[in-house]
Amino acid sequence: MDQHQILQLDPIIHAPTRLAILSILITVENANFTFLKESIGVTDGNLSTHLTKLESSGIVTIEKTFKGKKPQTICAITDKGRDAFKNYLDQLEQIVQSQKHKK
Amino acid sequence: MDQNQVAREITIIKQMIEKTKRETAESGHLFIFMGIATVLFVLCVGLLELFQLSQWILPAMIILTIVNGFIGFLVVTKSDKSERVKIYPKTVVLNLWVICGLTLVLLTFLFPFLKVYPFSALGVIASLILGIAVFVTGVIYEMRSILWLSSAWWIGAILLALIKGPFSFFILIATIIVGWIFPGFIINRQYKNGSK
Repeated sequence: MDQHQILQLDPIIHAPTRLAILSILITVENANFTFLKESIGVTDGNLSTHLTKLESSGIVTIEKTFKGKKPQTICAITDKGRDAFKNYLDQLEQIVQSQKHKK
Repeated sequence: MDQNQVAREITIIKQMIEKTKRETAESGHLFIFMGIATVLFVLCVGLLELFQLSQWILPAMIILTIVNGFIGFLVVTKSDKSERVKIYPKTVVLNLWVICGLTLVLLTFLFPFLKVYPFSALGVIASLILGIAVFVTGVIYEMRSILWLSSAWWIGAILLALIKGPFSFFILIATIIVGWIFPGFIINRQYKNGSK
C-alpha cells in the first residue's frame, strides 16, 4: 500500500475503537452505550470520547433517554455515517486488491 | 498501513458484526408460547362445543383472549426493557404480529356478531391471516423452512372449508402446531446454534 492510499482513508473511521463502533451500528437500528462498551471492550470514558468525535463529525447520533426509570444512551449511525463507512470498506478492498497485484 | 493492519481492521469488522448478530438473534420463545396458547384456546372451545356447553364458549373465548393478550404484552414489555440493540427485522415482525393479533380479535368478536360472515367461517379466515403472518415472518428472517411451513395455513383453510363438525377443531389444532409452533422451534434452534 502506498502513501497516497493511506492518506485517502477517512481519519475519523481509521481508529480501531471507532471502526468497531461503526461496524456494530451499521447492522442495527440503534444500540445502547452498555452494549457498545461490552462488545468493544473499552472503558466508559474511552467509548464516550470516540462517540463524541463521531457525533461531532455527523457520523452518529447520540440520544439520552429513559427506559422506565433507568437512564440510557442510544447510539445510531446517520446516512452520512453509512456512506462514510461504505467508502471506507471500498478503500480497504482497493488496498487488499492492490497488494494482491503487487505480489 | 501494511497488510497486517488491513487484516486486523477486517477482523474487527467481522468480530463486531458477529457479536451483534448473536445479540439480536430471535429466540422464538414468544412464537412458541403464543402457538401453544392458541392450541389451548381452540381445544377449550372445541371441548365446550363437544360437551354441548355452547353458552360458555363466548365467555371462555373472551377470558382466554384477555389472558393471552396480557401475557403476550408482559413478555414483549419485558424483552423490550432488556433489549440493548434494536434491529429493523424484529421491529417489523413484532408490529406484523401485533396487527395480526388485533385483526384476529376483530374477526372473532366483532364481525361474526355483525353478521358479516357466519361464526363457522372464522377458522378459514383466521388461517388465511395467520398464513400471511407466518409467511412474511419467514421472508424477514430469511428462513426457507418457515416459508414452506406457512403453507400449512392455506391447506388448513381449504380443509376447514371442506370438512365441518368436530373434526374441524382437530384440523385447526394440527394447522397451528405445523404452521405456528414448528416455526417457533425452528427459530429457537437457529438461535441456540448461533449463540454457541
